[in-house]
Amino acid sequence: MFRKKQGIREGSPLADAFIYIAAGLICLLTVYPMYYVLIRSVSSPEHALAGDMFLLPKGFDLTSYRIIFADATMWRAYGNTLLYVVCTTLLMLLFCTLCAYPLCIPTLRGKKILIPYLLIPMYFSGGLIPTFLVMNRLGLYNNIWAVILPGSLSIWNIILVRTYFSSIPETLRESAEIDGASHFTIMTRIYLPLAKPILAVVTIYTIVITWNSWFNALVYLPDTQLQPLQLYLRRVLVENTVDLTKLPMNEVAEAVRRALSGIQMKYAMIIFTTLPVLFAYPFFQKHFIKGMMVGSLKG
Amino acid sequence: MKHLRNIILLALAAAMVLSLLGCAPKEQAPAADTPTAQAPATQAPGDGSAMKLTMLVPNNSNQFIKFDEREEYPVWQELKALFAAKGLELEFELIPADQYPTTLQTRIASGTDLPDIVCLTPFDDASAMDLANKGTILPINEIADAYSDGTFNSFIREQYPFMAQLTTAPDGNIYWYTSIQAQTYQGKPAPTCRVINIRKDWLEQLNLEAPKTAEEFVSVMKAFRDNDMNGNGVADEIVTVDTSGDFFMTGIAQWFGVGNYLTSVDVVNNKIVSPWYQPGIQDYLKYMQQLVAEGLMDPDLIGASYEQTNQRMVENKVGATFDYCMQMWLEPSINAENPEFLPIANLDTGYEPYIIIEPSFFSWQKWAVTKDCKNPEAVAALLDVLYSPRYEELTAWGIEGQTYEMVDGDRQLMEGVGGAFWEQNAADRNSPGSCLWAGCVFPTVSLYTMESQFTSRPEHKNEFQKSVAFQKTVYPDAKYCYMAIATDEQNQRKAELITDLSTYSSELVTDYILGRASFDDWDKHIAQLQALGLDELIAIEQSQYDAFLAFSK
Repeated sequence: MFRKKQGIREGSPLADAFIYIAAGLICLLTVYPMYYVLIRSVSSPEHALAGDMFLLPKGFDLTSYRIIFADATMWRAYGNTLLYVVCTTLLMLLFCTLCAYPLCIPTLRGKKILIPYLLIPMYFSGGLIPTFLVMNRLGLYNNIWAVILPGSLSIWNIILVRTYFSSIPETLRESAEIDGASHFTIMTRIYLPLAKPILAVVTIYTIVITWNSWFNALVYLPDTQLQPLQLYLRRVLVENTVDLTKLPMNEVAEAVRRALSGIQMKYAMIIFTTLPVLFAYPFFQKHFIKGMMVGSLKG
Repeated sequence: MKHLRNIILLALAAAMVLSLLGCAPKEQAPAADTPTAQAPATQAPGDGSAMKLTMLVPNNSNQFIKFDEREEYPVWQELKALFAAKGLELEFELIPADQYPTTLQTRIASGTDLPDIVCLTPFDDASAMDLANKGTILPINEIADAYSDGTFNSFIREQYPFMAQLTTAPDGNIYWYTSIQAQTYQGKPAPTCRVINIRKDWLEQLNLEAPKTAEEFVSVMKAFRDNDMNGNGVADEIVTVDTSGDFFMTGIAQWFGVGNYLTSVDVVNNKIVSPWYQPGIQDYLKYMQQLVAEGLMDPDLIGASYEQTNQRMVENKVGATFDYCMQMWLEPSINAENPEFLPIANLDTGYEPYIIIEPSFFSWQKWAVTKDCKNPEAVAALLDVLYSPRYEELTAWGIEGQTYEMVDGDRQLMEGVGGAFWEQNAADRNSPGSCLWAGCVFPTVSLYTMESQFTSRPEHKNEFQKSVAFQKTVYPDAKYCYMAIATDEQNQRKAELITDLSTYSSELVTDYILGRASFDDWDKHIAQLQALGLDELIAIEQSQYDAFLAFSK
């Protein structure tokens, strides 16, 4: 005979119902704003301006999407983002593996000093202005490397990969050494094939972070030809927002005109820029979840 | 494994090739308009070549008329000719407007390789004075005195002395030049104003007269609501005013003789006053409470964004709102047939009402000369161009016969030019300079007559404007146009006081309007405002106003 705990058994339909309802509500709260943006982007312009839809779009108008598709600047920004994502991800994998492998070797000299030395910049940085001075002096101002290089080196990811490498049995490396393998051979032929899960995690995280990043471009890329998609989106969302109280009457007319035109465009732009990540996420979801744990446990 | 190594090597090679595609050639000098953090050296005078100036400025934000395409506009060619006549050659570092504040702050903070001229508009007076004190920006009055042909000094000290009054720092120098606007009616300075605008078409449908008292206003708004003027079956016709911030500029407050800001400039008595000390304030708050209680004002719109408030306008729910009397931008956004707004003012409340007057002379935005500028003669030449009558003509009006014409001695934009015709103007490359460069690359210099505005407005708005053109100004709009630049100590103290005071004042107004605060606790609330430093803030701004008055003598 088992005891009932306060009248609710494990596996109770009542508990299941409660959990499903709670999860459903949270899901609704999370998904509805995105859905609202979607239906507002396809509603007719006057309803998009009024924002009076709730569950279904009012009218149907794809003009904003046609304008976006015809916008060469947007496609240029899209191409820039793809370039930055690919380059940053590849360089990130390269730097992570090259940095993590030596750190996982127990006999590395100076390891006890090197690891804390690496950890310090993870917590402290010089700040925006010193970094700007460094980037400027390196000739990286208004250069795509100002966006790629900072995103390609992550101490967090190095630690993650190093932790995973450390979980690979040491005996594998020793036996390969006995057989005459060099460190490069051991890394590429033994560690990298075994480290596919962690490399997949690092890849996915880097892709998502780089896709969404815009701040470095804001500071270092004044040339609109080099700017990524998120900065373009920010421009669409932000530049039509003005404080009308600080303008004289003749300036207010132009500011109002700017603010009202393209309201529907903003929503279409949001959908357009988030679609790739939205579609890709279900395929990588298990790696995201796995990635949170894979670097944390040894053995 | 060899396969894996080959894949890695291929991927690395691809990454290198892809990234090389984006690299700029190293040996090539940056083209004009190419942003660079290494500003090219300016030409020394007297070597026979043009005087070059580099300018870090925001790009214009016009949707159709782009500064990047300026070479195709005749009005730009005219302006270039003015610069060429002075031996000037300008190079622009154009930054998108939304990105400009960040770029400016990082470039200024880095302090090296600055361009000759920067647009300092994102910086407030205190921050700009901080740069002046550190020597990052140079006094332009000294440059003008030494090298100008007199045009700039004549403009700011004789023709439009308010510009000098508003830009002279406590040390007597002028560190930035500004946009200016001056408007006249019948040859005399004449301001425009902001008032309550009520739906004229709804009044006519209900056969109602425009209200003349505050009680009549409530009755009219109730009539709008009870008769469902927008025909949607819901009693949702409202009045929209913003009572948030340190704002008492609602149009309605002014019926009760209440000042327009937390600290307002009383130009009649030359005093700084606060609405919290004025006799009409409690009755104003009670009136607003009544509007909310009657459902004539939506409390959700308190502190709302422009987009949120505008939604009500688009949905044809706004029976009255606060805006310029000569505005023409509200009606086109309303989903209704032939909506019209009628400005109303000075409604009887038992207190002496006044109208919020926008100063006829307006100065705003900033451009400054940086410490890395080595060619002050070029700066003086630039200032002489920017404040010349020809620049004003090109900026505000364009080219006679192409963008404007003379009608009865007044300039008027030609049919199909400006505002609603930007897209066509861009296609035709036919526009006044204001759309191309004003307010971003170069200052706006707009000296226009009210008469030229009347031709594009309906008669009822023109009549209202004429009726108030010479009305006495009491608490003017844009109070910073009446305040000299504060000292460093004053700026610091104001920065310490203003946030808490504004927040408390705004919340107190909201609490009273929503009925959450009791008038029985009035003295307690005033004591709290004083504890937060209201009197000290008034004293600081009084000294700024006194300094402004002293400059104007």
